[in-house]
Amino acid sequence: MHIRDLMKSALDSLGRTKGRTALTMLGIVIGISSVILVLSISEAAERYIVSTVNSFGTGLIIVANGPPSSGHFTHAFAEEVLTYDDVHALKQKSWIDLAMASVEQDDKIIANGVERGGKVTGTMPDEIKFYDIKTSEGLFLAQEDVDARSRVTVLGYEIARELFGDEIAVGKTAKINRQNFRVIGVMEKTGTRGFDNVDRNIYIPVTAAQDLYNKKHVMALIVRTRLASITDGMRRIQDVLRDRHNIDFGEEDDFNVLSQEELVKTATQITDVLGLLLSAIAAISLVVGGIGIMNIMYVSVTERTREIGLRKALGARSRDILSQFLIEAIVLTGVGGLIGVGLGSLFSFLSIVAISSFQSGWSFSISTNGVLLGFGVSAVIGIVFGYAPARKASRLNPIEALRKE
Amino acid sequence: MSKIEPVIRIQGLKKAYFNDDIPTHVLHGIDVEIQKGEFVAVMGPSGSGKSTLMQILGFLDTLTEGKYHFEGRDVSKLTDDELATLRGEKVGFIFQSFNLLPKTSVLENVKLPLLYSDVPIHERNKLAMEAIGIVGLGSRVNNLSNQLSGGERQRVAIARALVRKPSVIFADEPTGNLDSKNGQAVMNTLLELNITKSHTIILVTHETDTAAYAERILTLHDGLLVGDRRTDGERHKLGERELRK
Repeated sequence: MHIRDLMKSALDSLGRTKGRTALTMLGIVIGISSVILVLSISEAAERYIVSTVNSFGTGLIIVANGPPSSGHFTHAFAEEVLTYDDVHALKQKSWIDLAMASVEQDDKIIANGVERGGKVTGTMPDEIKFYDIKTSEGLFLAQEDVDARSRVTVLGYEIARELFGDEIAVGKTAKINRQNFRVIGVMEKTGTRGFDNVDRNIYIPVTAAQDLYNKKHVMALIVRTRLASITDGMRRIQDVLRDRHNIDFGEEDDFNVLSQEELVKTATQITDVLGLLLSAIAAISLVVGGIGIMNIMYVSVTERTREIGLRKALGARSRDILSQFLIEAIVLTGVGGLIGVGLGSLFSFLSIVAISSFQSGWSFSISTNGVLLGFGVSAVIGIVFGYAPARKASRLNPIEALRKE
Repeated sequence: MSKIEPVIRIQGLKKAYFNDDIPTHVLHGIDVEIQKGEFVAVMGPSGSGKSTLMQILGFLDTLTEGKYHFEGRDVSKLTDDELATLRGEKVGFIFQSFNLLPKTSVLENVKLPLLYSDVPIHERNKLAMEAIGIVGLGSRVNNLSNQLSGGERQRVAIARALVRKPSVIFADEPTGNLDSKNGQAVMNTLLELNITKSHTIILVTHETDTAAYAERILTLHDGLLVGDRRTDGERHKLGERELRK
């Protein structure tokens, strides 16, 4: 039987039961669009994370608390071992270009009779070099402020506007954790970086942050070396810190030195695994849809037993009947897959638009993997779940089939 | 002078159905020859084996014992696919219950056997239109099968049986679901095909009025051929009278 005849025959018979065809397709449509949605969002998240990490600049080396075996990210249970003196020691090395330590704490700030929440970021002057940010008013923190543990602050654009409106903020006093801080600068509007809105940051010297929150340690060190090789830089930082932390030969580091590339790799691995897990959940609906198709194809074979008998009486061979019913199942899932890809892409676009409305930096692009997977999976479902009913149809005895009421 | 090879020749045809190796004998050894262009009626009471005989002759079923030669070829032992090919190429079927595809046009129904042939796609419409023209439904080609009367449906089925220009047309109780007027019209169409186009027709019926359109009547009883007689006079009278109308 010619493929054109098979396709026409499949479309004709599906067209004769439009309502049932549409409902059967629905399972596949939901399954495929879920897979596309999940994959598109996970790919968008990956792009967002990569671009965010890259926005920090290139060639960064991050030193986090906790041994390497604890994982690539700092976590709440890692023992804090890094100190301001560590970064100070690193800064003395000629091969170090930039280095800073940070302490972060969500807190309230009160000024001008207004109270607002923000992220108190204990940092160092290299912050503006690392992130290529500028003040719109006044100056950023100086090394003298860090050395003197000065109670000075530079406000993020948004929090400065909320506290002082259009007034000049520099020279005003703001209260953080019941301590007075003098505003020495306001940052330019920057938006989000990583998962944070940096326009709500309240920058203070890292040493002042340690005093304010009674912390002996710092959260992380961020370093850039003048060396050509990142690996060489990481090794040298490791040597300095092992020496400072009195770690003997053979003992594991109590800190974790990571390159920016490793961070990106880890982040993409996480999004990949998440995407895979969520896709697997979405794929369950595809299997359910496939079983629905199998069920309907069985019903169709039973209902059309006489037709099968007739076709056989008119010269159809078993493989013609098998192909016809298989093609019907494939058309059913293929069209369902096509609609699913369309709807999935539309939902993905709308989701990314929704996410972008409260976190900038997200971008939409149709998931090629999702589209290919969608079509592939729907065709495979058609073949797998359509085969058994099609085989049943092909094996019907023409006399018995024609006799069926 | 060489003897003309009959289109159908069966010798000692036996058929038994097996249920758990226990045989039920339906045909007990039948010998028949049918010549090209003959119009043969197979009659007999229910259970006599006439439908089984038609199914074997029409390649829908296989025989248990004996020989079956079709156009001189031994077709006693063929595979399912070979039987399917023969059904498509050599025979056409007309069923009591029409067996048209629902919600499908007359043209598409008549073209159905061509799907399983080597006829190129662009020639199919022409062949189907020819067959539809023969049964006088040229004005209804685009009507859906469910928009037709019983008589018209059976004429569509006749066109479908004709479309591949078969050697033999098998009609199983073709008037069984029709009123007498439509039944006569269908039989006249078959008679005309036999007289004017020399189609070989094998008709299974239990109605003597319908069997009278045939030129030869085979009678079965309990799986045995008990009668084989000619009806030339009656047939020609009927044919002339009806065709004149």
